[in-house]
Amino acid sequence: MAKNLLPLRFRILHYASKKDAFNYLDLINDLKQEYGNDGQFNKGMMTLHIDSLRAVGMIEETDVDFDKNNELLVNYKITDYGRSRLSYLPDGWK
Amino acid sequence: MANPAARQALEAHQLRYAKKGLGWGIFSGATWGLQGTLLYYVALVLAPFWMEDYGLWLVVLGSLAGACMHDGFAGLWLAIINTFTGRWREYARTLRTKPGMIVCLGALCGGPVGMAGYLVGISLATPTYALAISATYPALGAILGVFILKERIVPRVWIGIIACTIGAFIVGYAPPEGGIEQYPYFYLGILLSFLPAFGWALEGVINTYGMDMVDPDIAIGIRETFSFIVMFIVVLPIIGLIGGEGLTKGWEIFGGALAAGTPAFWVAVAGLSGGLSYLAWYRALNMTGVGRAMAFNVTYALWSIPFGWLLALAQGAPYTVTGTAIIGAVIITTGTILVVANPKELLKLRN
Repeated sequence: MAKNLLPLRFRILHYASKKDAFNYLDLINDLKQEYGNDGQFNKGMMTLHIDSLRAVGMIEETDVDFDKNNELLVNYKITDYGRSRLSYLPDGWK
Repeated sequence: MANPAARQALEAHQLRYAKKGLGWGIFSGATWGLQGTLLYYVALVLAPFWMEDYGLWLVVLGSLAGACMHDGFAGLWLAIINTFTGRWREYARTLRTKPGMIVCLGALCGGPVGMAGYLVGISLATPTYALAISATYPALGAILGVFILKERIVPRVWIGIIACTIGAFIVGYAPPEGGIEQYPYFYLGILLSFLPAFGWALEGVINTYGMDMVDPDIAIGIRETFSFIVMFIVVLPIIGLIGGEGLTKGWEIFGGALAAGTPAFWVAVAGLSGGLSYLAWYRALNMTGVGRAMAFNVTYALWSIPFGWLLALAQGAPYTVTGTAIIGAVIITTGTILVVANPKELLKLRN
Protein backbone atom coordinates (compact mmCIF):
# COMPACT_ATOMS: atom_id res chain seq x y z
CA MET A 1 0.00 0.00 0.00
CA ALA A 2 1.44 3.34 -1.04
CA LYS A 3 -0.09 5.42 1.72
CA ASN A 4 0.61 4.84 5.40
CA LEU A 5 -2.45 3.71 7.33
CA LEU A 6 -4.08 6.46 9.38
CA PRO A 7 -5.06 5.97 13.02
CA LEU A 8 -8.53 4.36 12.81
CA ARG A 9 -10.34 7.44 14.15
CA PHE A 10 -8.69 9.69 11.54
CA ARG A 11 -9.64 7.14 8.86
CA ILE A 12 -13.29 7.13 10.02
CA LEU A 13 -13.37 10.93 9.76
CA HIS A 14 -11.79 10.75 6.29
CA TYR A 15 -14.34 8.06 5.32
CA ALA A 16 -17.17 10.27 6.63
CA SER A 17 -15.96 13.15 4.44
CA LYS A 18 -16.43 11.00 1.33
CA LYS A 19 -19.95 9.69 2.14
CA ASP A 20 -23.33 11.38 2.48
CA ALA A 21 -24.17 9.00 5.35
CA PHE A 22 -22.67 5.89 6.95
CA ASN A 23 -23.14 3.48 9.84
CA TYR A 24 -20.83 1.08 11.67
CA LEU A 25 -21.68 -1.77 9.24
CA ASP A 26 -20.41 0.33 6.32
CA LEU A 27 -17.15 0.87 8.21
CA ILE A 28 -16.81 -2.85 8.98
CA ASN A 29 -17.37 -3.71 5.30
CA ASP A 30 -15.37 -0.95 3.63
CA LEU A 31 -12.34 -0.73 5.94
CA LYS A 32 -11.86 -4.48 6.36
CA GLN A 33 -9.04 -4.63 3.86
CA GLU A 34 -7.07 -1.89 5.67
CA TYR A 35 -7.81 -2.61 9.34
CA GLY A 36 -9.18 -6.17 9.30
CA ASN A 37 -6.09 -7.51 11.09
CA ASP A 38 -6.44 -5.08 14.02
CA GLY A 39 -7.79 -6.53 17.26
CA GLN A 40 -9.90 -3.37 17.53
CA PHE A 41 -11.73 -4.17 14.29
CA ASN A 42 -15.02 -5.25 15.84
CA LYS A 43 -18.48 -3.86 16.44
CA GLY A 44 -17.81 -2.79 20.05
CA MET A 45 -14.68 -0.75 19.33
CA MET A 46 -16.10 0.67 16.10
CA THR A 47 -19.18 1.87 18.00
CA LEU A 48 -16.91 3.38 20.66
CA HIS A 49 -14.92 5.33 18.04
CA ILE A 50 -18.16 6.56 16.43
CA ASP A 51 -19.69 7.57 19.80
CA SER A 52 -16.55 9.50 20.66
CA LEU A 53 -16.38 11.33 17.32
CA ARG A 54 -20.05 12.25 17.81
CA ALA A 55 -19.52 13.40 21.40
CA VAL A 56 -16.75 15.82 20.35
CA GLY A 57 -18.96 17.12 17.51
CA MET A 58 -17.11 15.85 14.42
CA ILE A 59 -20.00 13.71 13.17
CA GLU A 60 -23.75 13.86 13.79
CA GLU A 61 -26.58 11.41 13.31
CA THR A 62 -28.82 11.74 10.26
CA ASP A 63 -31.14 8.82 10.74
CA VAL A 64 -31.84 6.08 13.26
CA ASP A 65 -33.83 2.85 13.08
CA PHE A 66 -33.82 -0.74 14.31
CA ASP A 67 -32.23 -3.43 12.15
CA LYS A 68 -33.75 -6.87 11.59
CA ASN A 69 -32.24 -8.09 14.89
CA ASN A 70 -33.99 -5.20 16.65
CA GLU A 71 -30.66 -3.48 17.33
CA LEU A 72 -30.15 0.25 16.88
CA LEU A 73 -28.66 1.22 13.54
CA VAL A 74 -27.58 4.87 13.42
CA ASN A 75 -26.50 6.70 10.29
CA TYR A 76 -24.04 9.56 10.63
CA LYS A 77 -22.59 12.36 8.54
CA ILE A 78 -19.60 14.62 9.01
CA THR A 79 -20.17 18.08 10.55
CA ASP A 80 -18.57 21.37 9.48
CA TYR A 81 -16.30 21.10 12.52
CA GLY A 82 -15.27 17.58 11.52
CA ARG A 83 -14.56 18.81 7.99
CA SER A 84 -12.35 21.58 9.39
CA ARG A 85 -10.29 18.93 11.22
CA LEU A 86 -9.46 17.19 7.91
CA SER A 87 -6.63 19.71 7.60
CA TYR A 88 -4.78 17.70 10.27
CA LEU A 89 -4.62 14.65 8.00
CA PRO A 90 -1.24 13.88 6.40
CA ASP A 91 -0.79 15.31 2.87
CA GLY A 92 -1.45 11.99 1.08
CA TRP A 93 -4.92 11.82 2.65
CA LYS A 94 -6.12 15.35 1.95
CA MET B 1 -36.08 10.35 11.96
CA ALA B 2 -38.96 8.13 10.99
CA ASN B 3 -38.94 5.84 14.00
CA PRO B 4 -39.66 7.60 17.33
CA ALA B 5 -38.89 4.45 19.34
CA ALA B 6 -35.47 4.19 17.69
CA ARG B 7 -34.83 7.90 18.32
CA GLN B 8 -35.71 7.40 21.99
CA ALA B 9 -33.40 4.38 22.23
CA LEU B 10 -30.59 6.41 20.64
CA GLU B 11 -31.07 9.25 23.14
CA ALA B 12 -30.95 6.73 25.99
CA HIS B 13 -27.73 5.31 24.50
CA GLN B 14 -26.15 8.78 24.23
CA LEU B 15 -27.19 9.69 27.79
CA ARG B 16 -25.65 6.45 29.08
CA TYR B 17 -22.46 7.34 27.23
CA ALA B 18 -22.30 10.83 28.77
CA LYS B 19 -23.04 9.42 32.25
CA LYS B 20 -20.22 6.93 31.80
CA GLY B 21 -18.04 9.96 31.04
CA LEU B 22 -18.99 11.49 34.40
CA GLY B 23 -18.09 8.19 36.06
CA TRP B 24 -14.67 8.24 34.36
CA GLY B 25 -14.20 11.87 35.54
CA ILE B 26 -14.84 10.95 39.19
CA PHE B 27 -12.63 7.85 38.85
CA SER B 28 -9.81 10.01 37.43
CA GLY B 29 -9.95 12.31 40.48
CA ALA B 30 -9.97 9.45 43.00
CA THR B 31 -7.10 7.53 41.34
CA TRP B 32 -4.96 10.69 41.08
CA GLY B 33 -5.51 11.39 44.79
CA LEU B 34 -4.52 7.78 45.54
CA GLN B 35 -1.45 8.00 43.28
CA GLY B 36 -0.06 11.12 45.02
CA THR B 37 -0.54 9.75 48.53
CA LEU B 38 0.83 6.30 47.59
CA LEU B 39 3.99 7.91 46.26
CA TYR B 40 4.49 10.08 49.35
CA TYR B 41 3.53 7.74 52.18
CA VAL B 42 4.70 4.41 50.73
CA ALA B 43 7.11 4.66 47.77
CA LEU B 44 9.23 7.81 48.11
CA VAL B 45 10.02 7.21 51.80
CA LEU B 46 12.00 4.13 50.79
CA ALA B 47 15.71 4.10 49.95
CA PRO B 48 17.17 5.00 47.51
CA PHE B 49 14.41 7.54 46.70
CA TRP B 50 14.90 9.04 50.15
CA MET B 51 17.49 8.57 52.89
CA GLU B 52 18.02 10.21 56.27
CA ASP B 53 21.27 11.91 55.19
CA TYR B 54 19.95 13.30 51.87
CA GLY B 55 20.38 17.04 51.34
CA LEU B 56 17.89 19.11 49.34
CA TRP B 57 19.34 18.24 45.90
CA LEU B 58 19.30 14.52 46.59
CA VAL B 59 15.69 14.74 47.81
CA VAL B 60 14.87 16.56 44.56
CA LEU B 61 16.79 14.02 42.47
CA GLY B 62 15.16 11.10 44.33
CA SER B 63 11.69 12.59 43.67
CA LEU B 64 12.55 13.12 39.99
CA ALA B 65 13.73 9.51 39.68
CA GLY B 66 10.37 8.53 41.23
CA ALA B 67 8.47 10.77 38.78
CA CYS B 68 10.41 9.28 35.86
CA MET B 69 9.77 5.70 37.01
CA HIS B 70 6.08 6.53 37.64
CA ASP B 71 5.59 7.71 34.07
CA GLY B 72 7.58 4.73 32.76
CA PHE B 73 5.34 2.26 34.57
CA ALA B 74 2.19 4.20 33.64
CA GLY B 75 3.30 4.07 29.98
CA LEU B 76 3.96 0.33 30.28
CA TRP B 77 0.55 -0.43 31.84
CA LEU B 78 -1.18 1.64 29.18
CA ALA B 79 0.75 -0.15 26.41
CA ILE B 80 -0.45 -3.47 27.86
CA ILE B 81 -4.07 -2.22 27.98
CA ASN B 82 -3.82 -0.93 24.40
CA THR B 83 -2.32 -4.23 23.22
CA PHE B 84 -5.12 -6.21 24.85
CA THR B 85 -7.75 -4.01 23.17
CA GLY B 86 -6.08 -4.55 19.79
CA ARG B 87 -4.64 -1.08 19.32
CA TRP B 88 -0.85 -1.41 19.57
CA ARG B 89 -0.43 -0.51 15.88
CA GLU B 90 -2.14 2.84 16.57
CA TYR B 91 0.97 4.18 18.37
CA ALA B 92 3.08 4.40 15.19
CA ARG B 93 0.11 5.49 13.07
CA THR B 94 -0.67 8.33 15.49
CA LEU B 95 2.95 9.48 15.79
CA ARG B 96 3.03 9.99 12.02
CA THR B 97 0.27 12.63 12.25
CA LYS B 98 0.34 16.27 13.33
CA PRO B 99 -2.03 15.76 16.32
CA GLY B 100 0.24 12.88 17.41
CA MET B 101 3.22 15.26 17.47
CA ILE B 102 1.10 17.79 19.39
CA VAL B 103 0.48 15.13 22.06
CA CYS B 104 4.29 14.82 22.41
CA LEU B 105 4.68 18.61 22.66
CA GLY B 106 1.97 18.69 25.34
CA ALA B 107 3.73 15.82 27.11
CA LEU B 108 6.87 17.97 27.43
CA CYS B 109 4.87 20.51 29.47
CA GLY B 110 2.85 17.95 31.41
CA GLY B 111 5.63 15.44 32.01
CA PRO B 112 9.12 16.84 32.61
CA VAL B 113 7.78 20.21 33.80
CA GLY B 114 4.47 19.18 35.39
CA MET B 115 5.18 15.75 36.85
CA ALA B 116 8.68 16.70 37.98
CA GLY B 117 7.47 19.78 39.87
CA TYR B 118 4.51 17.81 41.19
CA LEU B 119 6.58 15.04 42.76
CA VAL B 120 9.22 17.37 44.20
CA GLY B 121 6.33 19.47 45.57
CA ILE B 122 4.77 16.38 47.17
CA SER B 123 8.11 15.38 48.72
CA LEU B 124 8.79 18.82 50.20
CA ALA B 125 5.29 20.04 51.10
CA THR B 126 3.31 16.72 51.50
CA PRO B 127 0.50 15.54 49.17
CA THR B 128 -2.66 17.45 50.16
CA TYR B 129 -0.76 20.78 50.06
CA ALA B 130 0.96 20.07 46.72
CA LEU B 131 -2.14 18.55 45.13
CA ALA B 132 -4.31 21.50 46.18
CA ILE B 133 -1.89 24.02 44.65
CA SER B 134 -1.56 21.95 41.46
CA ALA B 135 -5.38 21.82 41.20
CA THR B 136 -5.35 25.52 40.30
CA TYR B 137 -4.24 24.52 36.77
CA PRO B 138 -7.62 25.25 35.12
CA ALA B 139 -7.55 28.79 36.61
CA LEU B 140 -4.06 29.30 35.17
CA GLY B 141 -5.29 27.69 31.93
CA ALA B 142 -8.11 30.25 31.73
CA ILE B 143 -5.59 33.09 32.19
CA LEU B 144 -3.18 31.57 29.61
CA GLY B 145 -6.18 31.16 27.27
CA VAL B 146 -6.66 34.95 27.32
CA PHE B 147 -3.13 35.50 26.06
CA ILE B 148 -2.69 32.52 23.72
CA LEU B 149 -6.20 31.74 22.46
CA LYS B 150 -7.61 35.29 22.87
CA GLU B 151 -10.44 33.93 25.03
CA ARG B 152 -12.61 36.15 27.23
CA ILE B 153 -13.14 35.45 30.92
CA VAL B 154 -16.76 35.64 32.14
CA PRO B 155 -17.62 36.81 35.72
CA ARG B 156 -18.23 33.25 37.02
CA VAL B 157 -14.69 32.29 35.96
CA TRP B 158 -13.23 35.42 37.61
CA ILE B 159 -14.88 34.43 40.90
CA GLY B 160 -13.37 30.95 40.51
CA ILE B 161 -9.90 32.37 39.81
CA ILE B 162 -10.12 34.66 42.86
CA ALA B 163 -11.29 31.72 45.02
CA CYS B 164 -8.33 29.64 43.77
CA THR B 165 -5.92 32.46 44.65
CA ILE B 166 -7.37 32.83 48.17
CA GLY B 167 -7.34 29.03 48.62
CA ALA B 168 -3.71 28.85 47.47
CA PHE B 169 -2.74 31.52 50.04
CA ILE B 170 -4.51 29.57 52.80
CA VAL B 171 -2.90 26.23 51.81
CA GLY B 172 0.54 27.78 51.40
CA TYR B 173 0.37 29.98 54.51
CA ALA B 174 1.57 27.46 57.10
CA PRO B 175 3.30 24.05 56.99
CA PRO B 176 1.68 20.81 58.23
CA GLU B 177 1.68 19.96 61.96
CA GLY B 178 5.27 19.77 63.13
CA GLY B 179 6.00 23.13 61.57
CA ILE B 180 8.98 24.34 59.62
CA GLU B 181 11.37 22.19 61.73
CA GLN B 182 9.72 19.02 60.36
CA TYR B 183 9.22 20.39 56.85
CA PRO B 184 12.16 22.77 56.30
CA TYR B 185 11.55 23.11 52.53
CA PHE B 186 7.76 23.49 52.80
CA TYR B 187 7.59 26.90 51.06
CA LEU B 188 9.92 25.75 48.27
CA GLY B 189 7.59 22.75 47.86
CA ILE B 190 4.57 25.05 47.59
CA LEU B 191 6.40 27.17 44.99
CA LEU B 192 7.34 24.08 42.97
CA SER B 193 3.73 22.84 43.15
CA PHE B 194 2.83 25.74 40.84
CA LEU B 195 5.00 24.06 38.16
CA PRO B 196 2.45 21.27 37.54
CA ALA B 197 -0.31 23.89 37.54
CA PHE B 198 1.57 25.79 34.77
CA GLY B 199 2.68 22.62 32.98
CA TRP B 200 -0.77 21.05 32.89
CA ALA B 201 -2.45 24.34 31.98
CA LEU B 202 -0.06 24.76 29.04
CA GLU B 203 -0.55 21.10 28.08
CA GLY B 204 -4.31 21.72 28.03
CA VAL B 205 -3.94 24.77 25.79
CA ILE B 206 -1.60 22.90 23.39
CA ASN B 207 -3.93 19.90 23.29
CA THR B 208 -6.80 22.04 22.00
CA TYR B 209 -5.07 21.73 18.61
CA GLY B 210 -6.33 18.47 17.18
CA MET B 211 -6.35 16.43 20.37
CA ASP B 212 -10.03 15.51 19.98
CA MET B 213 -9.19 13.46 16.87
CA VAL B 214 -6.77 11.17 18.68
CA ASP B 215 -7.97 8.03 20.44
CA PRO B 216 -7.59 9.11 24.09
CA ASP B 217 -6.20 5.73 25.21
CA ILE B 218 -3.42 6.00 22.59
CA ALA B 219 -2.79 9.70 23.34
CA ILE B 220 -2.18 9.03 27.02
CA GLY B 221 -0.05 5.97 26.21
CA ILE B 222 2.19 8.12 24.00
CA ARG B 223 2.24 10.95 26.54
CA GLU B 224 3.40 8.83 29.48
CA THR B 225 6.03 6.96 27.44
CA PHE B 226 7.41 10.15 25.85
CA SER B 227 7.50 11.87 29.26
CA PHE B 228 9.45 8.90 30.70
CA ILE B 229 12.01 9.01 27.87
CA VAL B 230 12.62 12.78 28.21
CA MET B 231 12.86 12.61 32.00
CA PHE B 232 15.27 9.67 31.87
CA ILE B 233 17.54 10.96 29.11
CA VAL B 234 17.42 14.72 29.75
CA VAL B 235 16.00 15.73 33.14
CA LEU B 236 17.75 13.26 35.48
CA PRO B 237 21.32 13.91 34.22
CA ILE B 238 20.86 17.70 33.88
CA ILE B 239 19.39 18.14 37.38
CA GLY B 240 22.14 15.86 38.74
CA LEU B 241 24.77 18.05 37.10
CA ILE B 242 23.21 21.36 38.21
CA GLY B 243 22.92 20.13 41.79
CA GLY B 244 26.56 19.00 41.81
CA GLU B 245 25.59 15.35 42.35
CA GLY B 246 26.98 14.25 38.99
CA LEU B 247 25.58 13.20 35.65
CA THR B 248 24.70 9.67 36.66
CA LYS B 249 23.36 10.07 40.21
CA GLY B 250 19.69 10.20 39.07
CA TRP B 251 20.17 7.01 37.05
CA GLU B 252 21.86 5.39 40.05
CA ILE B 253 18.83 6.15 42.23
CA PHE B 254 16.54 4.86 39.45
CA GLY B 255 18.58 1.67 39.04
CA GLY B 256 18.94 1.23 42.80
CA ALA B 257 15.15 1.41 43.26
CA LEU B 258 14.64 -1.21 40.55
CA ALA B 259 17.29 -3.49 42.08
CA ALA B 260 15.84 -3.09 45.59
CA GLY B 261 12.46 -4.28 44.28
CA THR B 262 10.06 -2.95 46.92
CA PRO B 263 10.43 0.79 46.09
CA ALA B 264 9.98 0.06 42.38
CA PHE B 265 6.99 -2.19 43.15
CA TRP B 266 5.18 0.65 44.95
CA VAL B 267 6.00 3.13 42.18
CA ALA B 268 4.59 0.55 39.75
CA VAL B 269 1.37 0.41 41.82
CA ALA B 270 1.23 4.23 41.91
CA GLY B 271 1.98 4.22 38.15
CA LEU B 272 -1.02 1.94 37.62
CA SER B 273 -3.21 4.34 39.61
CA GLY B 274 -1.72 7.37 37.78
CA GLY B 275 -2.01 5.69 34.37
CA LEU B 276 -5.64 4.70 34.99
CA SER B 277 -6.33 8.22 36.23
CA TYR B 278 -5.00 9.78 33.02
CA LEU B 279 -6.81 7.18 30.92
CA ALA B 280 -10.06 7.97 32.74
CA TRP B 281 -9.41 11.71 32.41
CA TYR B 282 -8.79 11.61 28.65
CA ARG B 283 -11.83 9.36 28.18
CA ALA B 284 -14.01 11.68 30.27
CA LEU B 285 -12.84 14.65 28.16
CA ASN B 286 -14.00 12.81 25.05
CA MET B 287 -17.26 11.52 26.48
CA THR B 288 -18.69 14.35 28.51
CA GLY B 289 -16.88 17.56 27.56
CA VAL B 290 -13.92 19.50 28.97
CA GLY B 291 -15.85 21.46 31.63
CA ARG B 292 -17.50 18.50 33.32
CA ALA B 293 -14.47 16.23 33.00
CA MET B 294 -12.17 18.83 34.56
CA ALA B 295 -14.63 19.65 37.37
CA PHE B 296 -14.61 16.02 38.51
CA ASN B 297 -10.90 15.47 37.87
CA VAL B 298 -9.80 18.35 40.12
CA THR B 299 -11.47 16.76 43.13
CA TYR B 300 -8.16 14.84 43.46
CA ALA B 301 -6.91 17.26 46.15
CA LEU B 302 -9.91 16.30 48.28
CA TRP B 303 -9.44 12.57 47.60
CA SER B 304 -5.88 12.91 48.93
CA ILE B 305 -7.31 13.66 52.41
CA PRO B 306 -8.99 10.28 53.16
CA PHE B 307 -6.35 8.31 51.22
CA GLY B 308 -3.52 10.16 52.98
CA TRP B 309 -5.13 9.59 56.38
CA LEU B 310 -5.61 5.85 55.69
CA LEU B 311 -2.09 5.36 54.31
CA ALA B 312 -0.50 7.29 57.20
CA LEU B 313 -2.46 5.08 59.60
CA ALA B 314 -1.37 1.92 57.77
CA GLN B 315 2.27 3.06 57.81
CA GLY B 316 2.12 4.09 61.47
CA ALA B 317 3.12 7.61 60.38
CA PRO B 318 1.53 10.76 61.82
CA TYR B 319 -1.14 12.45 59.68
CA THR B 320 -0.03 16.06 59.70
CA VAL B 321 -2.42 17.89 57.34
CA THR B 322 -3.95 20.82 59.26
CA GLY B 323 -7.61 21.83 59.30
CA THR B 324 -6.66 25.15 57.68
CA ALA B 325 -5.07 23.32 54.73
CA ILE B 326 -8.20 21.20 54.28
CA ILE B 327 -10.33 24.40 54.21
CA GLY B 328 -7.90 25.84 51.62
CA ALA B 329 -8.13 22.66 49.51
CA VAL B 330 -11.95 22.84 49.60
CA ILE B 331 -11.85 26.54 48.52
CA ILE B 332 -9.44 25.74 45.63
CA THR B 333 -11.56 22.80 44.45
CA THR B 334 -14.74 24.90 44.57
CA GLY B 335 -12.98 27.77 42.77
CA THR B 336 -11.68 25.42 40.08
CA ILE B 337 -15.12 23.91 39.50
CA LEU B 338 -16.45 27.47 39.04
CA VAL B 339 -13.66 28.14 36.51
CA VAL B 340 -14.40 25.11 34.37
CA ALA B 341 -18.18 24.74 34.51
CA ASN B 342 -21.48 26.25 35.52
CA PRO B 343 -22.38 24.16 38.60
CA LYS B 344 -26.06 24.21 37.59
CA GLU B 345 -25.22 22.45 34.32
CA LEU B 346 -22.73 19.95 35.73
CA LEU B 347 -25.18 17.08 36.00
CA LYS B 348 -27.63 18.28 33.34
CA LEU B 349 -26.53 16.02 30.50
CA ARG B 350 -29.53 16.42 28.21
CA ASN B 351 -28.61 19.38 26.03
